[in-house]
Amino acid sequence: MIVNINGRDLLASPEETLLQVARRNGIAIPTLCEHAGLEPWGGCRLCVVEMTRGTAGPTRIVPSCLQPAEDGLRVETHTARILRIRAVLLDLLLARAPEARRIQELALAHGVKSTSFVPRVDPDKCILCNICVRACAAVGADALGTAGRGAAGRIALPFGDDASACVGCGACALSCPTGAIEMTDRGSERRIWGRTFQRLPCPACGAPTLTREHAAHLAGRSGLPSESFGMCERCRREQASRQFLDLVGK
Amino acid sequence: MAKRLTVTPSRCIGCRTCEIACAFSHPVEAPVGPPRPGLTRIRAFPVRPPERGIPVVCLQCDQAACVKVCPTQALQRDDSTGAILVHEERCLRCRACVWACPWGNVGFDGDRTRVYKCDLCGGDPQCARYCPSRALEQLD
Repeated sequence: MIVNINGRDLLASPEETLLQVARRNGIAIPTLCEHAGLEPWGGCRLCVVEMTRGTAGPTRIVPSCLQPAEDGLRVETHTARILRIRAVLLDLLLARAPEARRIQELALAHGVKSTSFVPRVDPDKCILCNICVRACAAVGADALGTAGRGAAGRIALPFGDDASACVGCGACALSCPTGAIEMTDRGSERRIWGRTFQRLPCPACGAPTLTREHAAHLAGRSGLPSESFGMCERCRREQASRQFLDLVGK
Repeated sequence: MAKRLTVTPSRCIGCRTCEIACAFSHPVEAPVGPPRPGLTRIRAFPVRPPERGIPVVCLQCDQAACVKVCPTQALQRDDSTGAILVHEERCLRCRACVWACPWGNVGFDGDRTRVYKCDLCGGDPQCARYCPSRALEQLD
């Protein structure tokens, strides 16, 4: 099938989204909530494009990350109307998370130097892209969700403070595109989401490894005993070398 | 059938040239700076006496634990080289692969928050190329 994007006829397959077709052909569309390892979500709306079916159909604004490719679609990714929508979204995000570098850069690229909205009183760096929530679900812990709406919208634990499902793996903090989630490792202690975890000591060298809860979580998912996960990778390599030595003989 | 990186520990002399070859084939970009021997994808553990070593490197397992535990299929086998590669854009940094590999051959670079492992240098593993005693070989 052929999709026309910005005047170019591009080959596409039905499993692809418009965003994927565009990216594959070097057409840059800004995104915030898109993550190659996660299902498309359509939350940030920055990837909106103008789309027309056939030659005389009405023009619709759709998020390209969710729109499957269809034969004969005509798509425009950078019209004045689309750029205006993206500028408004970034203007709003700048009011919400003025210190998020990614937002600053994107806003500037769309001609937004400062927000025209009322800035949040206590801004954080969260841009509500939901990558942390979806990453946590993918990891299998499902400890995070969203709460509130509009300006009060936020990433939150169930009931505001129930971190019991969190295993302290840190995937949310490390995959956050703006560094909005705080995780601190001090010695064997890991603090995240208001909870303090103990990282298991490597049985060989004593260095802190993963949290007890994370080890149990991985054990549950893999069917292996949780002791399989507690040794640091350096010591595991050394252990492997000793096993090989036994195999080949001293 | 792709070639295989073959390890013959009995031939290893423990010189650790493989580690240096690996470090130089996988330079670290700024701001952290070039080759970091601490982050090599291969280690040769010295054994003595007599002077020898045991190389430990990713075996690109057929039933790989790292691939199994990855929640986003960020680890995928490259059929042309047989190497299990990290697709960074898919990775969530949950590090399940790091903890799952029974041989410790998946590492995590905390400075750049990314998982690293042997990629067989795109089909021409430099450790094998520079190994002076053919303990590491790229064989058919």
